[in-house]
Amino acid sequence: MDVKEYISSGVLELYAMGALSSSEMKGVEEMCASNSEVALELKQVQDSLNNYAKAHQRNPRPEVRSELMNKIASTGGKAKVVQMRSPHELTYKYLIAACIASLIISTFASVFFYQKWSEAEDRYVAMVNEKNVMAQNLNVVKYNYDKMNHDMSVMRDPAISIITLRATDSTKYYMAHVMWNKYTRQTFIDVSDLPAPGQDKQYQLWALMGGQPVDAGVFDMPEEGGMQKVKAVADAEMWAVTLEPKGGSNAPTMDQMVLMSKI
Amino acid sequence: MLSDRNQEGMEILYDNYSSALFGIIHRIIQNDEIAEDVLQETFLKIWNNFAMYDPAKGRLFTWMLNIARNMAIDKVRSKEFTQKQKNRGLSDSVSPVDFEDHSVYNPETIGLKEMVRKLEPEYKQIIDLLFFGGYTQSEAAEKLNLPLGTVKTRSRAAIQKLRYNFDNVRTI
Repeated sequence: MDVKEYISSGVLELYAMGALSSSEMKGVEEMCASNSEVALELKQVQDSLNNYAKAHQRNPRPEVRSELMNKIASTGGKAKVVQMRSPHELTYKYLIAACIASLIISTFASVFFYQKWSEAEDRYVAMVNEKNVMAQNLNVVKYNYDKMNHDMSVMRDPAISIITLRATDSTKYYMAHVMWNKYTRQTFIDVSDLPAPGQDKQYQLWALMGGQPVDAGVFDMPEEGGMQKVKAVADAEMWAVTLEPKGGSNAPTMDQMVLMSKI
Repeated sequence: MLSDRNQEGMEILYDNYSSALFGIIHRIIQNDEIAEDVLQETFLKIWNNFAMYDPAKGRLFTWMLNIARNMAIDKVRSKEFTQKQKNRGLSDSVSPVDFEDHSVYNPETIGLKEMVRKLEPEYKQIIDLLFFGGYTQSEAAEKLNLPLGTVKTRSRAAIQKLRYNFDNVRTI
């Protein structure tokens, strides 16, 4: 709306006389704040009404003045008035201060607890890893223990015979032991020192009875060493190990004999 | 002066404005005793809320006048007041301005009163309804049986006339 039109509409007069709703009043106040011409016009309208009011001037009885001043004095003068006007402001100030303070505190607390949480998370991951490693180690230990226990139980059987096999080539120190239980026929070999057989070769154990070789099975060279079960053997006078093609042979290749027991 | 909220300042304020404020309170209430109570309440409110007065938004007198006017109109509309009036058998309509006892005799206000007397009845009526009667724009339109727009333009014309009259008083 054009300023002149706004001024002549009469809305400022209605405002000055208090005849507008609060939302209409707000509109006039905004208009005055943004337009100095409107603000000046409103002031002149108000001055006219002030004069109109002054025209009705009338003196109250003098007692009214002293009564009023007593009332004001009894409110405690200065201090009381300060209290009376400020509780709201103060409350808001305290509220805002409290909000800001708690915001800062919670921010710091968040950072602090996040760091704590990260540390705890890291330590937790490290502990889980450690636990896994321990569990693996324990499995290895348990496996070795079981194996040793088993080996021991085999060895402790009074029926077991331990036969030492030595290198057929006397310049070598190859050696193995055969553990044979003549009752249960269980047979084991424990290789202490043998060269690796090569890609397509395998060692094979033979039991010799009455000059006849009996296949006692092929065996590998396990890294962890120890006893390996081979085929059950019913009877044996001598033992020999030959190097055979992978999978073993039906008859020993005599010139590949590496180990032999004494008669 | 009053922003220090000392009592001395209040006394100065009272001495300067009590008769003007009492005049319009009395004009609205039309009863000496009640008007004096409202005058005291008005000054207590001014005293307690002085920090809320914003000089940028208008004159001090305008601010105080609105407080006095609102308190007087609230009083007139209160149950307690209508009860009292009923007992006294007085009419609740806004009666013409009287310039009897207690009036202040100083040349300026005599001049002002003269100017008010000169105001056309239809202008006086609308100012009395809106300003002293606390009527809203639409209530006044209903009361006067006028369109809403006419209340607005007549308000404008009435106050323009007041201004014109007062300006002429000043220049005399």
